[in-house]
Amino acid sequence: MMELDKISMDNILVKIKKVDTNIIKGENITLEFGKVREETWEEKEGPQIKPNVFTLRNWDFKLLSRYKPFYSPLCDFCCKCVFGKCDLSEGKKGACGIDMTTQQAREFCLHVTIGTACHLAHARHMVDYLIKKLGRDYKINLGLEINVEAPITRTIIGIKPEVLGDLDEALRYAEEEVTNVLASIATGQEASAIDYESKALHMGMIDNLVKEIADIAQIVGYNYPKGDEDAPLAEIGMGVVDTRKATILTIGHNAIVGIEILDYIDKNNLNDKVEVVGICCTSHDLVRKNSRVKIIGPMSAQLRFLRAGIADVIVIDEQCIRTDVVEEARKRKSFVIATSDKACHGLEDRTNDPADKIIMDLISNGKAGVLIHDPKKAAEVAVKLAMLVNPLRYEYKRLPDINEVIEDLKKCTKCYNCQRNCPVNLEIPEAIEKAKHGNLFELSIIREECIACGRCESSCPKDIKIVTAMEKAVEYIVKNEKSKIRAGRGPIKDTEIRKVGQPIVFGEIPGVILFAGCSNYYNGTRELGEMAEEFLKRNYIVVTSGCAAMTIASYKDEEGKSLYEKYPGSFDAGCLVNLGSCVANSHAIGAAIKIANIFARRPLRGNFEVIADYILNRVGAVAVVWGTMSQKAIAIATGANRWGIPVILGPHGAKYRRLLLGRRDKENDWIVYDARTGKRVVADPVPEHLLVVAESKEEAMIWISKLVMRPNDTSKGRMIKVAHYIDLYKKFFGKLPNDLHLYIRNENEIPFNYKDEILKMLKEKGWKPKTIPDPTLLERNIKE
Amino acid sequence: MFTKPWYHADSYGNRYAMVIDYKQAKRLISRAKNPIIIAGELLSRENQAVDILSKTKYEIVATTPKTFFAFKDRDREVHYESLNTLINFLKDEEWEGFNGKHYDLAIFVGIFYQLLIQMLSTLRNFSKIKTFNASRFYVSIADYSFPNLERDLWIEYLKKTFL
Repeated sequence: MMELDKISMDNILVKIKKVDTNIIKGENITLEFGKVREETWEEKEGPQIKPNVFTLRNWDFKLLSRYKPFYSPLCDFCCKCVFGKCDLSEGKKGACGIDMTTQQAREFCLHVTIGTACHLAHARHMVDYLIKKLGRDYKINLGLEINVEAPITRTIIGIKPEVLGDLDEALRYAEEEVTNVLASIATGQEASAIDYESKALHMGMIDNLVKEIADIAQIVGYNYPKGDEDAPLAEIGMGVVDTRKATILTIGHNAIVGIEILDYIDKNNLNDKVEVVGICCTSHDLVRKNSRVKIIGPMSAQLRFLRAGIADVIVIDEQCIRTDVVEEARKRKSFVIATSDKACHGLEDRTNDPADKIIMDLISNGKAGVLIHDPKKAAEVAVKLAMLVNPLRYEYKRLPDINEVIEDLKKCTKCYNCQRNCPVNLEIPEAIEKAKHGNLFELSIIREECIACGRCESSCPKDIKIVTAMEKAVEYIVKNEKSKIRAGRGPIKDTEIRKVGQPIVFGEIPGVILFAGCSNYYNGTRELGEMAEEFLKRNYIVVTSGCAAMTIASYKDEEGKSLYEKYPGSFDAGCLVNLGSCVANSHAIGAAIKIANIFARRPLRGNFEVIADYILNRVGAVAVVWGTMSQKAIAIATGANRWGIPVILGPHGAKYRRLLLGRRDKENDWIVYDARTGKRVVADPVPEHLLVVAESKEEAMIWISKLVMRPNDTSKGRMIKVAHYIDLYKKFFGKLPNDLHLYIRNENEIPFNYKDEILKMLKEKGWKPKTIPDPTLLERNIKE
Repeated sequence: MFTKPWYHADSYGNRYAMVIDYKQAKRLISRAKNPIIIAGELLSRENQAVDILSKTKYEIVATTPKTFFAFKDRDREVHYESLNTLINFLKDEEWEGFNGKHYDLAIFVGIFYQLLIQMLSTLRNFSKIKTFNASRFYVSIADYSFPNLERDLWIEYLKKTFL
């Protein structure tokens, strides 16, 4: 006899009140049989569904045999266990037997895993929250023009996610993979550099997957733009805030609390009384929900805006939050509300207390903030608190008087500690020397190159407020620092891919460039805008996300227009696409996958290798991470690499310790199968590198023009790409590139404008025409 | 001679670059069989330094377009190679260089400090080539380095080393 309590078709959950048979006797038994899935996707399953560390190891080894790891240790030691410290320099091994090469690969793998874990935890929080709010069966629908809604998830997990609950399944897979790789980094586990490299690539791929999941969840859950090229323009800049209103500043990457704040303001008709502004990706995502939210800027705006004291309440969620945010807030009598388990900042947990009691306690006891991990309550406290303290904080909402700043600077003894701790070696003491006498011009100049990390101040023995002085030097400019950014549009539409797929693969659209990453630029923010505009004018497709998208918005023309106002938001030649926050940059990789799938009809389901091989050999995409700060940036880049997309890092990127560099001078490194004949042939050395650092903006632009070349380019397409390469090279060097002969395979690829000059050069180099193969690294792609 | 690294967080291990003055630098370079000067982006902002290096007899490779042009403006032939690619070549003993021979001394000047120390770290750990930092600021991870110098004194050092 068996009495059934409940059957849920979501997971086949069988609860048995009582069972009494010859074999089993018992009460209150729960049986869970996993998920019931009605198959709606007809695509045949490929061999690599939910790949683990072993599954794609061979693909990684293929990549790594061409693009060999190039290590730059940050120090000679390993400090990971109590055998050590161990000096690994000059061929020495550590007490566990590890050598320097393996240790660098291990450190690199750890960085990528940390970055991946950040995006994964973010995705988990978002998916769980939205499932709780909307239900597991809430439909994933990205509109009529997007059928391939989740190209990364389809390829890796082998499912076509239809409801929020499907995303949960994908995250469980990712959580297992991250745990396994993190375990391999422990002392006494993995012993091979190449295997650590493979694991790092695996983590990068998982990073791309979980970003896609996080973004799809929030797009459907919050009704963000769904691939809308005309997504609204929003205000951005330090000068956009209406300082008369109570101001709530959101910092981080997770929009859940921010959206509760917007809802609370709407419900209580407080829009004319409260201003919501943001720094970093949370603000991107709030703008996607409601374009009246204002973006202050990328992470480099954080310390500056905190010092300005404009924010009455600062709500922090997760990622890219300054560790000293509470300390800085306290100086300006602002209040901090921490809301995430990832960033509690030592604040008292008041989640279970009534909102009004929390507010009264904060005002009366002088504490700088609280932890509230209930989004609704955090929102209520933030709005009420901001409105209450706004009129009381007037004197803190301005920078100190100029005389006060100069008196502070007069304490400088030119010890040079500030410069010697500055990540960009700015000549701060010289600027201070002039400012002491009332001339703040030099300070305003170096502020343009400053990334506002504040290390100068913390190393100053006289405690001079250098960042504040720089802000004072540009106070009148900053008040008018306003620009426009297009709200993040999310994924690329299938209809757009149908239009541009062929011209991209044939090379007629010269390339797709993703500008992503953080904001610690080495030579100021202007360069990113200059790079973007150069390639927009050249008809490349320019895609942006995260801090890079914000920085590009601050670059304006003489009429005061930002690039987002000047260039359309479609995924097409000469267009500028803002995808949204960092998690949204997964759609750039998604677009490359969709080209393989929609244009070239390559099957996605469990076919990672086939898709990555297609992208590496055919899709002229490149990413530029000009400002590189956190581990997340290198996780993003490493994921792109595994899909076959090269990445250019700014100079700080060298501190990630590892690049992937090809050798254009070694023919054997460029052998591919010609899928038509099955023969192994030498292809041209493109793309030359998978992960490379550029020392200057001009060098980065030359790399972009080279790294979009693919061995499968048609002659017409290659001619167009080579023409841009030559054009940029001539602009910067005044001559033809020395390595040009490597990229021209036949005379049809010589740009008309330079034909005689190039023919002469080719003759000198002993150039001979080459056959264009149907290139693949996979034997199984050889046609019968 | 002992000096502290310019950048306070420049601490790679327990071996520090030998601090050398212009006399020792001149001797070091003249004794090298095949030295090469690697000139980075920041050199393009230092006119006097470019003037001096333009007149040196040693082979120069510029690592960025602006630096290449700075030499070109002075009718000085230099090679161009991006820094990563160049360091990747230099650590390969089979690479024949721009002049058909492998280099035994790499002299760095005008490279953004934090990028420079990473590239020196690669060469120190994964190559046999000797490195000399001829920039204004002492770095610990080269084999040899000028001390921290005021700009005028650095120019004097360059003159006396390379001319």
